[in-house]
Formats: sequence, C-alpha cells, structure tokens
Amino acid sequence: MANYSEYIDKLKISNPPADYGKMLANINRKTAKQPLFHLPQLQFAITASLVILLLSFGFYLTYPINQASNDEVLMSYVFNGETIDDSVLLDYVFEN
Amino acid sequence: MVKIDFNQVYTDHKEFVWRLVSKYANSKQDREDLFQEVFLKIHRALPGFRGQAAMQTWIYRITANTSLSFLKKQNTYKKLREVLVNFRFVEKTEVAQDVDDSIWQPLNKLNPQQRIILVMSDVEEKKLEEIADSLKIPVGTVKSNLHRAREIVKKDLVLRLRPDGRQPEGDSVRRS
Repeated sequence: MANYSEYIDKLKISNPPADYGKMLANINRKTAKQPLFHLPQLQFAITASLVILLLSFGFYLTYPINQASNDEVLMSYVFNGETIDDSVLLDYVFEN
Repeated sequence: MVKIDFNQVYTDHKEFVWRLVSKYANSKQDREDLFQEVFLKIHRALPGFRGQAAMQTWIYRITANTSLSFLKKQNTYKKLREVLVNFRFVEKTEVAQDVDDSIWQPLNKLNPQQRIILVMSDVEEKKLEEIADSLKIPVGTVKSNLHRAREIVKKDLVLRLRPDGRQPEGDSVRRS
C-alpha cells in the first residue's frame, strides 16, 4: 500500500467469496416467517382497530369503578340518605 | 403494474450488492448479515417499486443507506462494549476480532459516514451529487466528509509504512 491510489485500486479489485445459496435460503426463511404482515395494509388496520375496540370494551366492563353499588362505603353516601344523616363527619361539616 | 419476482432480482443483483457490502463490512459474518439485511429491505420494498429509477440505482440507494445504518449500529455497539470493558463488566478477551483482512484497516479509522462516502466516491466512482442524493445529505457535507476521510486514510497508510515497520496502535479507535 505505497500510496492512496494504490490502496484504492486494491479495494476496487477485492471481492471476497460469497455463498449466495446459503444467504438466499436465510432470506427466504426470514421472509416466510411473517404471515401476519402478509395482510394488505387496510385489512391489517381494520383488524387491529377491531381488536383494540374489543379490548377497550372488555376493559370498560370489568373496570372496578363501574361496579359501584349501595354496599360500598363511598357509594352509600350517594344512594342512602340515612347514611348522610348518621354521619358524624358530615354533621360536623354542616353545623359549622 | 408488473409484478417483479424477488428471486429474479436476487439472481440479477446479488453480485453487485455483495461487491458493495464487501467494502463496508470487514468480517465474513458482518458481510453476510449486511447482505441479507439489504435483500430483506429489497423484498419488503419491491411491491412499491414503481420503476421511475433504474432497478440498479434503486438497489444502490437501499444498499448505501442500509450499510450506513449497519455501520452506525456497529459503532455504537463497539463504544458500548469499550465502556463495559473499562468498567470491567465484561472481559477484554470477549471482544470479537472483526477484521479478517488488513486491507480494511485504514477504512476502520473512519466513522460510518466517512467510510460510506469515501467508498462511494473513490472506489465506486460515484459523483458527489449522486452520493448526496443517495444518502439524502447536502453536497457540502459529502465534500467535507470526503476530504477528511481521504486525509485520515492517507495518514494511516503513511504510518503503516514507517521504517521501523511498526503498525500504528489503536486500530479499533475510530475518529469522529
């Protein structure tokens, strides 16, 4: 590598051996492993939206805040008037 | 639109892509990984290829950009590895020797962008405008990187020919 242009000439002619068959087999294996992404983009977007919608609805139905009832201490203040009357804390608030 | 067969594209362009990636990656494993990454991108992008550009030009762009990302990732990994070695989290001997031919060592002194630009310009003999267009960077950036890259390689070549025959130290250190 006496000088720059000699070095560049060496780079130009260098061509390491390649196993094209093995590399093609690897590429084919990787491209064949993704059946989900074979769906067209629009179809994939619609399917994903439906899945998200279903999951959100399921989450909404099972979320504890939507299952409030008379039996809970907090909600009893809303549903039972007598609870308010008996409350020492509220008496203290309203009397002042 | 005419459907293009991937296997045909592979057959027609595999040697062209291999010749290019050979200049960007040093070890056999890296070359093969990069080559496969390029063809995976081609496979994904092929349905959208409209044929406005020649197929070879299109493939050239994909190869250049994939190689640049590949080298940047590798650079980050090496820096991280150096930090881990410094803090003794990993043994120094575990660092993979990735240079299997001394011809690549001067190129290893360059950062990823300098290396890609120098190879595209001086080895592949592409015009500055073509390089700028392929890498989506200004021509001025190409020029300055090319100038700096040539300086670094020339300096390294001179050091390798020192009369005491000693090779320059710190081959693994890249300049920014």
